[in-house]
Formats: sequence, structure tokens, C-alpha cells
Amino acid sequence: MNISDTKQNPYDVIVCGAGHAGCEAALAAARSGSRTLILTGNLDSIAQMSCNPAVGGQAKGQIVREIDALGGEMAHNTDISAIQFKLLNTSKGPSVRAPRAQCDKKEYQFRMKHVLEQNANLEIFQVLVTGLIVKNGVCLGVKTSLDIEIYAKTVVVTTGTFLRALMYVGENKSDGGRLGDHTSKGLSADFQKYGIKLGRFKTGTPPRILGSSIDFTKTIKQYGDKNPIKFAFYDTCSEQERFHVEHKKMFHVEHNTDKTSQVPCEQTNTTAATANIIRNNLHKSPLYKGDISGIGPRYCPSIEDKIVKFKDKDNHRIYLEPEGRNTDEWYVNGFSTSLPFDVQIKALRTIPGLENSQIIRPAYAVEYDYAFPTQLSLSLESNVISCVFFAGQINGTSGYEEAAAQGLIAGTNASHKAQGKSAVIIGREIGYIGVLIDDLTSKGVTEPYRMFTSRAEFRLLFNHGSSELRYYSVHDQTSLISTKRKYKIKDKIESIRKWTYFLNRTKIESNKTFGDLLRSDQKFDFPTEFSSLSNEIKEEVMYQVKYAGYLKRELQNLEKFKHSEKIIIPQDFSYDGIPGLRKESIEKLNSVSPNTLGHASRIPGVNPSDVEILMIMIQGKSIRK
Amino acid sequence: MKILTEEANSLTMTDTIVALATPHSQSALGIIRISGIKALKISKEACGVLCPTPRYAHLTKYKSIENEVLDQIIMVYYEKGKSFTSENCLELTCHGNPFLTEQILSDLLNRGCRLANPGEFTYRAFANGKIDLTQAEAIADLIGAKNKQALMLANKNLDGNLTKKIRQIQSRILAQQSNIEAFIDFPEDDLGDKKDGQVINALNDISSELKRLIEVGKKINVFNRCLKVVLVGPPNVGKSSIFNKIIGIDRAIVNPEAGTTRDFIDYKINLGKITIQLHDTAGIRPVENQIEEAGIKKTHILIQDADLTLIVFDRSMPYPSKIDKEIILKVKNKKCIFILSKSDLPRVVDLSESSFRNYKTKMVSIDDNKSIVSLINLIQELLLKESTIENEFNMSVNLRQSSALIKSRDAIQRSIKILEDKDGSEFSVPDLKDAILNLNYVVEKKDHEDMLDILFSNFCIGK
Repeated sequence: MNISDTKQNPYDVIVCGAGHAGCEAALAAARSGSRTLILTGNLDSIAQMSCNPAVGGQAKGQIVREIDALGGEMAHNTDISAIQFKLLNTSKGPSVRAPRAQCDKKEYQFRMKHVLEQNANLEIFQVLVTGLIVKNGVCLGVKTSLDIEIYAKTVVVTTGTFLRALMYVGENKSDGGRLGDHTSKGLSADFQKYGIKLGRFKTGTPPRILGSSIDFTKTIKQYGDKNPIKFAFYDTCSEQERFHVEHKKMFHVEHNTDKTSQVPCEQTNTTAATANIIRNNLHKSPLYKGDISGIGPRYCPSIEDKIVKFKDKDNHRIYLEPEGRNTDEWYVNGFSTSLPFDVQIKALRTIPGLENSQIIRPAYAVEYDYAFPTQLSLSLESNVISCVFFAGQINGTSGYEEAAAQGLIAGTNASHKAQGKSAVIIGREIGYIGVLIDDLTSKGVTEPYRMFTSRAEFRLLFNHGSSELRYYSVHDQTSLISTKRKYKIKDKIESIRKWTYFLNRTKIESNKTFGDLLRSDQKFDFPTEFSSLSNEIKEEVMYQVKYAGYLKRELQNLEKFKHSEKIIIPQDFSYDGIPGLRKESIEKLNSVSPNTLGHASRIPGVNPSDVEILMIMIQGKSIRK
Repeated sequence: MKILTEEANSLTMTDTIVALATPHSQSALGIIRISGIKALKISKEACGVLCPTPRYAHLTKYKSIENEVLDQIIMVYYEKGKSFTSENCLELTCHGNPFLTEQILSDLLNRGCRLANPGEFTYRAFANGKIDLTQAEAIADLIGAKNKQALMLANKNLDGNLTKKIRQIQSRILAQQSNIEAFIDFPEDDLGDKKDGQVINALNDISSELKRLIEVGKKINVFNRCLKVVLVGPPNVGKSSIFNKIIGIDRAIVNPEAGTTRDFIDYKINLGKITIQLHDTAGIRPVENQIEEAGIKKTHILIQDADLTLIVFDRSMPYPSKIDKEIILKVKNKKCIFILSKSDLPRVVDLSESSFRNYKTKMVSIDDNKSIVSLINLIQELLLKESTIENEFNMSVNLRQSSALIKSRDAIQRSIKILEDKDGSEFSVPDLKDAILNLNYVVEKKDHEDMLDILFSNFCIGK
């Protein structure tokens, strides 16, 4: 297809940006049958991990498994490029255990780029997007730095931190959303011209150091798990069946996952000397001088923040993480800072093991524009301009996983819109992706948004192993996974249901069922037929049986929740002039325009009595009609 | 129609709702309305009418869940489809004493009903297709107005002390939740030692504070509750005369009600700001037969439950005898007044014994109205005094608030148990959230963001 002539023959979907959100968006659109174009300012930074070389972790690991359950690419890409796997929180119950992997950054990127290149429905092109083409509130395509206008039925914006991006290293200030990359100046103004409201956030990244300059005798090795939990569900979709560049022998990686071939991380900590240096140089930090006005994430503070806010803490933990197998670059986790370079190196060298460390990339803070996500509907389409979808860090989130999840949903829905199909909405009761999108669109963000398990009302039901079961019904609407896999998931669900019932009902000794024995931690032998099932099925059954009491209650609450989500607020519903509704509530409701009564109840400042009034009025209006 | 959790929304149509339809004040009659599936059950179990005739006035007695007659009432039943709400409804017309109606309401709650929220009866009528949109708008308006009013009242509530206290407790529960969440959501951060033991202790503290608040609600709310005053003493000391004299003071609003046995009579009377239920008891004397033994047992139970015991002695007789000492033993550490009757006769009684010294004594002569008035003043003074002395929180707790506090405490108890069972701290969180949610009902909404604020200020997150 000819990019310069799309006015008569537009693409179905254009994705602007090829980070973690953009890649999933483009693949989802292409895989669901849309002619898709992905644009990036730099082909060499496709799917780049701008910060730490790891995927997953608490709540994020669950998201990645959910992405796989939905047919996204991140899970498999991580499994293949991982150099270390670790399951977190193993001392707790299955619902809060989370897989994490250290990745080979370059391998991750190369493979993802290759996956994009292999898709027949997908074209890639390097150009900067400078604006949207909008007519009568409908987006028709994008303007580019080559002065070519490209038309499409829908556009997905996944521009990350690049809008009016500024990087800070002490007094030094430069344009760019990531060291070595560009900034996008025109797009912000363009968005604002159409009425999209923007805010400003900041984030930061630590220095990268040379491995040969680290004294590993002074650090503690952190190994991966001997029997790693991977992100993708290979029990319902084997490696061979997956969209795979490796089959074509065009790209090949050795991926061994046993303990010996995994690469360890290293642990050390800051010292009193580190704290002293940082305290004495606080006046040089743009964060403390007030140069940076954007709000940073509280869960990922700079080292200067940690030392100032928690002065009683003698030291702060530092993890050294390798950036790949074929590089000696190491990431200094826990040492994000915007202090001047000379202070960075001085402070870093007070850390045991890093006395002679050599920085090869400095730490920096980056400040960028984000668009208020409350301007989006649950499909991630803009309420301000139709046919434009937003996903990823532009929505005020942080994290590769959060970005990828949004990209997957935005790409799917952009594709559906282009094809005239209805939007796919993931409810909060289905999984973390649902919680993520609902939180963003209904509550908005006050700091870069990261997923926590505590954000989910039904956390106990969101164990990573059950992702496929929870998202199964979504595939009635999508074509993101194969029919074969769908059947396999269905079988898996059946088998789990059957065995849960069996263990709960079958008595084995003195009036006690398998379930009773499991719950009272007694030893017994499972039926051989059960023992021969797949681990995925066994673990899910055991979880459901062992914690049956807790899960039953969670399920009851979930049913109630679903009910309130079913009460739809009509699109044309007017909040103005409703008697009894408070002014503040009317304003909030007007700005968010919730889809359902449940959605309305989660808007901060909208109190229970407002919700009652709404319910009465919604029913009243429907009677009048 | 169920939305959110049961507690969180008033529009749960499966609940049976109750409310006082008449003003909460002294009046000739008080009307309580009940709507929902439990209506017929209440007709049968509380009102003793097995198959009520629709729209017929049944004269009957209202019995509490403990099988105690609370009032004689008129009960009218409206059948499903033909009632105001279109559900099975009951209207109980009882005597218009606010303390009595409160007792009946309270009993209905014990029977599984729920207090209706403002406009909820009308809402049900609306939802069941009984009224039109204009009326719906009127309800919406009402809910808005009542909500404002309730907030104002809550804030005015003795300088907002209760609200302040509940807010504090809410924050403390959030803090404990954050202590648990930190270790769940940041497993690799350096957070120090796990805090489960500390959390259990803190939750126990919160639970006992809630308990105290609930007790305050029970105890001090003299303006909302009928206080038990019991007259005891040997026979023929003039108990009954004193009893008659006291109720005679307020005969106009006396609400006579026969006791369950010939020997036990009680009357409800208003004494200024408070209402008391005055119990006369059989005279206590050496036990001669089983019937009397039962009577004495009952007297002892009454003393146990009493807010105030009036012990009557004949001034002209050489007391205390062995029996009297027994009574004195029973009232140890309880509020009581020693009444020395027949003050016109010469004094023989010896009150020098130490057990008497801590108690108020009062000389009373039946023929001297002044001495009766003075006794009544003392009764009022003592009962009101309790309300300020024992009310450490200096606040009052109304029925809706205390029901929220009770539910919140139950939830905390459950979460403590889960933490102690060591199934995994994540399983205790739904109950903690429940506890917070229930308090959200009486103060402002606190949610996940508030929990995160506490978490990030207490823990150095960011490995």
C-alpha cells in the first residue's frame, strides 16, 4: 500500500508509537483483521524498555498473564527473551503471587520488531506524527514530519513520554522523552487545540553502569527460580502454535531457563556516606529546586526523595540488574535521580561493590505531558474526538505492562470500530486489565498510575493462573486467539469445574471429603486421575478447593457488583437540573460521563446518596420513554 | 435490585425496611411502617396474627423477640400489589411514646429488618411502578435534602465528637490495611519485619474502642432509651406506696401496662428529659416456698439489669437484717438509693455499717409530697449524672450509627480471626474493607486512595 495516497483508501487503523502499548495495539488490530499501519519516530527503539530490564512483578505479572489470555504478545516475548524468572510472594496465597522476569533488553526489542514485521496485515514506517487530521470532531488520520498526511478509519495514540518531554540531569536540561531520542512538541498543542486537556508528570531512571567496574564480592547474588513460572499459557497454546518468528529460522535465541543458565541479579545498599552526599547536594536537584513541576510516582521515588522522606532509615536497598546476555551494561535499581552527574557518580561510589563503578549512561528525570484519561470511554476511545484511541503512558500510567494492556484493548477496539463491530469492554470483575481501564477512565490519575493488587475489589479471584478462565468470555467478541485455543480453554474450565466439585463432594475417610482434608492441611493421596492432570489445572482446582470459603464470599460480592454495572446510564442523560444532586457531583458526572451506575459510584466525590438519586432518575427516564 | 454491597446501598429491594412514620416525639400515637418479604412473618411472630385480613385493624400485642410484651397495638396488613410500595406491608399503630416506638423498631431490626433510608418507601413504590416521574423527582429532592440535613446533624452532634471519633477509627483501620497491603504489593521492598502481630493488636484495640462506642450508645443515650429503675426491699416497708406516689407525679402521660405476674408491676413515666420504667417487686423475705423463691430470683435479675435500684427500708425497724445484707451485696458497684420510709416514725435503723456509706440515702414520708419530689429529683440527677460520667466520648450514638459501628466491629473481629489463623493476610482485607465501608455510612467516604496515602507515608517504597 502506498502511504502517500490513503485519502481515498484509508487504513483501518494507524498506531502512533511503537512502545509497549503501540506494539500490542498494532498486533491486536492486525490480528483482528484490520489493515494496520504503525508509525514510530525511530525503528530502532521499538518495544524498548526505557527503564528497568524486567517484565512483571506484583500486579504487573498478573497483567502480563492476562495479556496472554487475551491473545497479546508481551507474555511470549518475555518468556523468550527472559534471562531470569522469579515468582514473587511465594509465602502468601496464590492470588497474590506474581511472576517476574529479567529480560535481555535488546533481544526483547529485536524479537518484537520481528513479530511486527512478519504480520501480513501490518505495515511499519518511521516518521514523526505531528498532528491529527480532525473534521467535525472525527479523526480522519495523522499529519507527519514528512508533510505526508496519512488517512485511517481510526487512530491509536501511544506516544508515551514524548509529548513536550524534558530531561533533567542536575542543572542540565534537554529535550527528549528518553536519552538519545526525540521529543514531540507539536502534538501537545494539536491535542489542546481540539479540546483535549493535558497534565504534566515526571518520572526518572537510574544510572547504568559497566559490569566490569562492579566488585561482585561485596554484593549478594539473587538467583531465579529453579522451576520458573512463565507468562504465556503453553497448556492451551503451545510454543509451536504461537505466532512465532523463530519457526522461520529467521531469528533464533537459545532460551534455557534452568537455574544455571539464568543470570543472577545482585543486591547491595546505600550507606550513611551516600545519604550525606545527597543531602549536601539537594540544592542541585531540579526536583528540590522546583524546576520540575510534574508529579512523580510515590511508589518509585528518586533516591533523594527516599533519603529526605525517610531519614531514619540507615540504608536503602539497591539491586543491580543485568541488561542482557550480550552486554555488560547494568541497571542500578533503586537509584533513580535527577542530581548532577558529578554528584551521581560520587554518591554511587559510596555503595558497597560500586566503589569503582563506571557510569555509562547517567540517571535523569523526565517531565512530560499526559492526557487526562477521564476524557476516554471504557473502550479507550476519546470522548473529545471520535475515532481516536489513547493507550499507554500518555494516559498517565507507568510501566510496560500497564501500557501493553491498554494498547491491546485500544488496538482491538480501534479495529472493531473500523470494522463496524461493537467495542470490547473489560469489566473490573474480570481482571486487572479491567480494573486498570476503569480506574483510569472513571477516577483519573493524580500521579503516574501503577497497578497494585489492592486496587482490585476481587483480588482473591485474580490469581495469575486463572487469567485464561476469567477472560474466556471476552473471546466471544474477539478474534485474537485461535478457535483451537478457545476449545482448549473451554476444556480446561470444564475440567477445573469437574474436579473442584469432585474434591469437595467425595468422602475419603470418616465422613471427610478431599476438600476437608485439604483445608485442614492433612496428608492424603489424590486420585491418580487427578495427579495426572496438567499443573495449571491442578493448581487452580487446589486453590478453589482450599480457599473455598473466602472465594465464595468474593464471588457473592462480585455478583452484586455485576448487577450495578448492568444499570446503564443513557448516553444522552443530562445531569443538570436533577433535583437533590449536589453541584460538585453534577460537575464530576458531567466531566466523566459514566456508562453505568456502578461506574458513577466509583467517581471520587460522588457519594452514595447521589447514586441513589441517579438510579431513580435513570429509571424514571426509561419509564417516560 | 441489588447494587454494590448490601450495606452500601439503600436500594436493595430484597431487604425488609422499617421506619417510624410519625414524628419521633411524645404524641398520642406512633405509626411504624414495614415493607418487604418479612412483613407476614412479623405479623405472625411479633404481632401474633397468623393470617391477617388485608386492610383490617387487628388489635393485638407486640411481643419482642425475647417474648416480652412491648405494647398493645393496632396492626393493619396491606397485601402485595395493593399496598403503597406494592410489597407486603404492615402498619403498626402503637402508643406515641418515643422510647416505646424505638424499642419496637429496635426489635424489628433484631428480626432482620433494616431501617429505611430517606425516601425509600416512596422509592420502592416508584420502582414497583406505583408512582410517576414527578413523584420520583420529589423523592430525589428529598434524599438530597435529608442527606444534607444528616451531615449537618452529624457535624453538630455534640461538637461533632462522634463524627471525629468515627473518622479517627476509620483512619486507624485504613492504616492497618496499609500495613497488610504494603507487604502484599511490595514484596521486594525493604519494609522491615512483617507486622501481622502488630496489626492484630491494633485491630483488637480498634475493636474494643468500637465496643466502647457501642456501649456508649446503649448506655448514655438516656434521651433515646427507657431506663430501668427497680424498687426492692422487705415487705410492708411502703414500696408500693412510694411506687404509686412516684407514678402519680406524672399520671397524665403514664402508660399503664400490667406486669407478667401479680407481684411484679411496672410503669413507664417521663421524668423531665428522661423516661424511666419503674418496676415494683415482691417483698423480699425469708423463703418459705418455691413460688417465692422464683419471685426473689426474678427480683435479683431485675436488679442486675437495672440502671438504678431503689432500696426501701422501714426507718422504724431495726435493720439491716440478714436479708437486707443480701440485697446490699447484689447492688454492690451498682447505682442505688437507700430510701428510709416512714420518716415520720422514730428512727431505729442503723446505717453506720460501712456498706451503706457509699450510697445516697433519702428520707421519705408518703404523706410529705416534698420528700417524694426530692426523691424524684435525686433519681433524675443520678441517671443524668451517669450519662456524663460514663460517657467518656462526650457524644451520643443513635440507632443508625450504632448499627454501623456494630457491623464494622463484627467485620474487624472476622479479620482478626483470619490473621490469627494465618491463612494469608490477603484474606483478611475484604473484612477490613467491609469495616471501613460500614463507617463510610456515618461519616465521609474513605477509599483506596486514602489507604495508599497512608501506605506511602509510612513505608519507604521503591526498591
